[in-house]
This record gives sequence, structure tokens and C-alpha cells, in this order.
Amino acid sequence: MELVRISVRRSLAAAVLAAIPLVTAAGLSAASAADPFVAGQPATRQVGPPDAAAPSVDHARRLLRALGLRDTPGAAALRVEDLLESATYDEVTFRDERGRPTLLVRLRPDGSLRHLARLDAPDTTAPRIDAGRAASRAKAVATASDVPHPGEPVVRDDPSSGWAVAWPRVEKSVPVLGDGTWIRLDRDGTVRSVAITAAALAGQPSAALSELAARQLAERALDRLVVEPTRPQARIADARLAWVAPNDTFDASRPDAPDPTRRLAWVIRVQTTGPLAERMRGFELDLDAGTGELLGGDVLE
Amino acid sequence: MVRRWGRWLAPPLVAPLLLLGTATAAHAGYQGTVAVNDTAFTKPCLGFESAWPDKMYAAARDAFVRLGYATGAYTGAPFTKALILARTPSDWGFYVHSHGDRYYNADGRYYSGFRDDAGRCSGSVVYSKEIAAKRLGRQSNLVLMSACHLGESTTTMPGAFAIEMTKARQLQSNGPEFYVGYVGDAWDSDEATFEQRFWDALGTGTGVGYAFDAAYGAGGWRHPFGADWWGTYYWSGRAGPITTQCPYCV
Repeated sequence: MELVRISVRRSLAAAVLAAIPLVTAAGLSAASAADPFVAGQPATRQVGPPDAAAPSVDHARRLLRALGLRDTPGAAALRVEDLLESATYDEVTFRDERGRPTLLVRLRPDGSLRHLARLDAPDTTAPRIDAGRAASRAKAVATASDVPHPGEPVVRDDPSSGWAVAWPRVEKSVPVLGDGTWIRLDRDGTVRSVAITAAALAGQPSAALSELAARQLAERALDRLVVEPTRPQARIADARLAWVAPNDTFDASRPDAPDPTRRLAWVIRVQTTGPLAERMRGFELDLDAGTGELLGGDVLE
Repeated sequence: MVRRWGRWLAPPLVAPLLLLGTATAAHAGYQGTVAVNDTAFTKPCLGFESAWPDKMYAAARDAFVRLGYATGAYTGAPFTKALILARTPSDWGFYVHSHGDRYYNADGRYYSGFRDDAGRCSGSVVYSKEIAAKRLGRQSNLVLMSACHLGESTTTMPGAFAIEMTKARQLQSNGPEFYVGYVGDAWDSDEATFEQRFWDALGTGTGVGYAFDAAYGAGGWRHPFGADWWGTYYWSGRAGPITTQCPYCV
């Protein structure tokens, strides 16, 4: 299947590699601090007039053709605000003659792709391509849709379809957790979804904590986060620098949605053992790389 | 033995639900259970209050209500193994967020399972075989296991809910059923992101398969994250044996 490179109004690749903050087009609303996401309520809502996103339909059609996906006559476009991501998108849904959704395309205000998904059940009997072909196929998809794909990807089984091929975002050798390009392929290599996340990065601290200092801070944090007698069952397994989205893992008073701006942090991986591991396999502490402040983290149950 | 949907077209006889502890109000109809382990991840079991269980509880509970399930939602001490096993024969929908794994059972075999809360730091394991023994092949609608390892190809949990581990394609149907589970280790941040998107997409009325692909395909995972499903792609997710809410669904 031949793929044709298309041009977009602004290349997202350059924006990602240069760590330029995410730009939203003037005139489009962004999630306001007064109206944040609250868990239990929908995270997506329509914004703007009903025809605000209509111009995006043609752009989405061109993208589908470039990817070799069948275009359908029925298409509806909405401008949506995603409160989880603090971002606004044009969301185009294509439907077949029965009215079933067949394809979903989300475009950023600058026309670049945020997310594309095929909406039909995968053929579980199709011949399965190998990992090497999956990587090649994903590269072709990334090229055709003009999304960043530097270097060699990480290829994994995707249990729901076939293959998941990822290019995690890395800035000056430091990973940006949650960011990058992620392509899912069906068993036969047909594209199932394409996703690109590229958040804004906060400024780097003028002086970064050493790993030793970060580990020492983490040990003190663990003394209060893991109470006796289970404290000996939580041990630091790893420490690495990464850009993270501050969240409310350890402080429920923080907003329900993660911060849209990534901050440089020491991510301290904590491994649990014994009875503590029976209910929690581990967790991560994100310590601000400059101040040592606990920005959040994650829990592995 | 998995009973096919054709034998279960009569509406169930479900009484209005009693409320326990932090359970929410229920409505007469097709029963659904939302159970979230909270005690293990809060004080005094830990030195902090993890924000994730409350958020996933709120999202799942409200989604089940919107989908028309007569929802009993439990977190903290009321979420016990006894409660789960007492309710499961009447459950058409089920959501649990907890520690999940393949656990060794006294019969010498391993089964998929999850831990209850019961107000303890480390709860009892609810084995899939125990759920199966209570349900006796009774069909279910929407099942989402928010736990590690319950979406792997070796999981025994879908069978407990009489959901065949197949993916019905276009124009085919396994009946109005859909099971979602996670593969390998699944961190709370990624689970919560997937689930919020999944519930949002389900709320558009376009169907469970659409919701899965829209949610899963959006990426943005903090860690490597895998999810899988079995059942019928084109189905609304709404409670009951027959749905009229989605014109192109089952």
C-alpha cells in the first residue's frame, strides 16, 4: 500500500525537537483555571459554534488518503475542549452508510495530528507480520502523516490489535514521560491508531539536584509516606531524570487533571516487598530537579 | 459452560439495592457493581492518601449510572469479598479497581483474582472461580477490571462472567457483552487516563468498541501500557439483554 507524504500547516516535528511550548491558535478557548476537570464528570466538551471545526474535515480526509485508509462520505466535525489535556482540538468523526463511526481524527489548532483511530473490530485471523515489518510499516505511517519518529522505535505486542510501535519523546537525552509518537497496527500491518503527545516544558532549573541528593530526599519522603512497620518493605530501586506532569498522587488537594506543563524531576522508583507488595507493587516519587519538591508520582497496585 | 445470549432474553428479577457505607443510591433495573479498593492506599495503611482510587471510583460509578445500570458503588470497608460474591449472581455490569494478579488457590491451581478492601490494608482475594461458581454461566454486559494482569490471554476472569475471549467483528455478535482488562503491570495514572477517556467515549452513545479504540489509541501513557478486550465491538454498553440506544449496535 503506497503512502503519500502530506504537508501540514505547521510541522509538529520541529516543534517537538526544539522543545517549543505547545501553541494554541488565537481565538480558541483553553481550559480555564476556574473550570477545571473534576473526576466523575466528562473530560471532553464541545466548544465554539457548531461549524467551528468544519474546515478540518477536508484536512482529515487528506490525512486518511495519505495513510491508505478508506474515506467515507459521512463526516462530522466538532471543536472540543479536552480538560484532561488542557487543550482544544477539532475532532472529526467519519461514519459509514449505516451511521457507524469508522474513523476518528483529532487535529490541533495548527492542523497537526493529535490522534487518529480506526473504529472497527480487528481481524484476529489475518496473517501476522513480524516485529521488523511492524517497525517499517509504522515508520511509513509516521512519514505519511508527518509526525515525529526520530531514530529506531520501540516495538511491542499490542494485545488488542497486533503491534504497538513507539517513539518516546526525549529532550537532550532526558525522557518526557507520556510524550511521543505511538502507533498501533493490526496483525496485518494496517494502521489502527496514531497518537502524538507533546506537552510544553517548563524552564530548566538553574542548578539541578544531584542523584545522591535526590535519593536522600526520597528516603526522607518515604519515611512519612510509608508508615511503620511497613517502611522497610519500600526501597528505592532506581532514580532517573525525566520531564513529568505534576499530579495529585500524594496530594488530593491538587487538581484532578495532571499539569499540562512538564517539569524536570528526579523520578524515584520505589520497589515494595513482603506484605506491602501484596497490595502495592511499587510507586514513583517525582521530585523537582531544582527544589526537591514532591511534584506527584504514580502508584502500581 | 457458557450459556448463549438467546437463553437470557427475559428481564431479570432484581430488587432495589440496599446501601452500605459509602455505596451510592441504586435504581431498580439491571444491576451493576462498582467496587474500588481505597483502604490499602490511604492512611493509616500508608502515610498518604492516594488520589487515584477516589477519582476512578467517581468516574466508574457515574458512568455506570449513565449507562442505565442499577448501580451499587462500594469503596472502603463495605467492599468485601462477601459483598462481591453476594451481588455477582445479579450483576449485569461490574467494575473493580484493586490489586489484581493470578493467585494460587487451595485447589492447587492458579486463577485470576483481585483483592477486596474490607477496611484492611491487605484484603482477601476474590478468585475468578468463586465468581464463576456464583454466576453459573449467567451472561453479563459490561465488565471492566481496573487491575494488573486481568487482561492477559491467560486470564480466567472473562469466563467467570461468561464472556468468551473472542472479538466479534462487523456484522457478527457475541451478544451485548464487553470485557476490558489490562495486560501486565498497569500504573494508576495510565489506568485512570484510559478509563476517563473510555467512559467519556461511551457517553457519546457510539458503542464499546469505539470507546475502547478512541481511549486506548489516544496514547500519552506515562509507562508502557497494554489493554485488551473481548466481546462485541458494536454494542452500546448499556445495561440489559437488548438495547435500543444505539441504532447500529446489537
